[in-house]
Amino acid sequence: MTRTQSRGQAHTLEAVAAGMLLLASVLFALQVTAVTPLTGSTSSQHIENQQASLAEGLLATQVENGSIVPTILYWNESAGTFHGTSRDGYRNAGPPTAFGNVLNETFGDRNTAYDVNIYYVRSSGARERISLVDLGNPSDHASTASRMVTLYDDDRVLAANESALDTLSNTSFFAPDAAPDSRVYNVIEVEVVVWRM
Amino acid sequence: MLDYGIAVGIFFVALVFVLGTIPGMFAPFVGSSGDTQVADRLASSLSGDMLGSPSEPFILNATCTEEFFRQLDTNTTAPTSCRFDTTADSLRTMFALDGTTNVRVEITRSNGTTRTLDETTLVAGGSLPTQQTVSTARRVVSLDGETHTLEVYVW
Repeated sequence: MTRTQSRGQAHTLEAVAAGMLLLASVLFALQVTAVTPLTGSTSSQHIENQQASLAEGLLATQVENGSIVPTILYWNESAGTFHGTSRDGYRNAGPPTAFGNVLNETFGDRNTAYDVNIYYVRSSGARERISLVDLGNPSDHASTASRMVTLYDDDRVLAANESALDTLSNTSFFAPDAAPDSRVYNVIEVEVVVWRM
Repeated sequence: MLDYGIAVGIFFVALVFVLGTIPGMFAPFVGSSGDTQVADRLASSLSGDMLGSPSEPFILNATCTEEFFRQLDTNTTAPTSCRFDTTADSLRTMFALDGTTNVRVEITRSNGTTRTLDETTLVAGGSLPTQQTVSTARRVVSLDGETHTLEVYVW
């Protein structure tokens, strides 16, 4: 009787130890693998590819439509910002232009966050950045696409109702005339950063 | 005897939990990831090559786009200047897919309605299944100077 009882205790201990061992090995396996079921939904390669292609297509179509340049020229000269924004660009949705509408339809309405950055050059060659749309800091899984557009000296800054005002060379635009001796005013790189919220 | 029963119970609970968790750990690597690849490739080749030209990706040629959908719908033959297989009469032969893969291609306006070009509705392939996993790939494309969405469904 005493013998079976002490053996029962050993079996009891063994069962608990085996259970702990099993759980510990699963925990270890979860910690050493970078990709788990939980990361699968947010860092999926398919989603990243998808968003990068969407952003590329969006920029390509908007360059084709000619809607990007009017958005860049949608500049409030006296305030030194884009129309209706603070210094950091549009913070809730895209700009109230054709380009902004497409951005909202493609990304904003589908719960995808995006930033639009604009890079321009100074005549010294330095490259600077201004934020057009700033919906927050991109996550680690963000995708980007960018496209160059050229501004010319005779392009006109737009008023809030999109009517043309003065030419770029006669206004205080955010980008300087990078090539004062030529018709080209500046070359702007438009970058769209997309990530899943 | 009672503590022995409890311990064995704990052991079995742990065992069941582990057996239940392990398939989930491999879930991202198995299953229908092939379909997402197919959908992505089809959307890329349609938007970047077949319906437009590789030099100007995402800008679709209106004539070839209309002929593409008309050819699949009514078996007409598209002009050979278009960059897709002008003899294929179904999406499966067009993309050389195996017999178990179903595809649907659609070009929609931003409000979600299917675009119609010269009386051809820009949609090809069967209707979507209701009880199966469908992989989708989307591209923003320019057609006729307007912004559209190209959607590819694979199941």
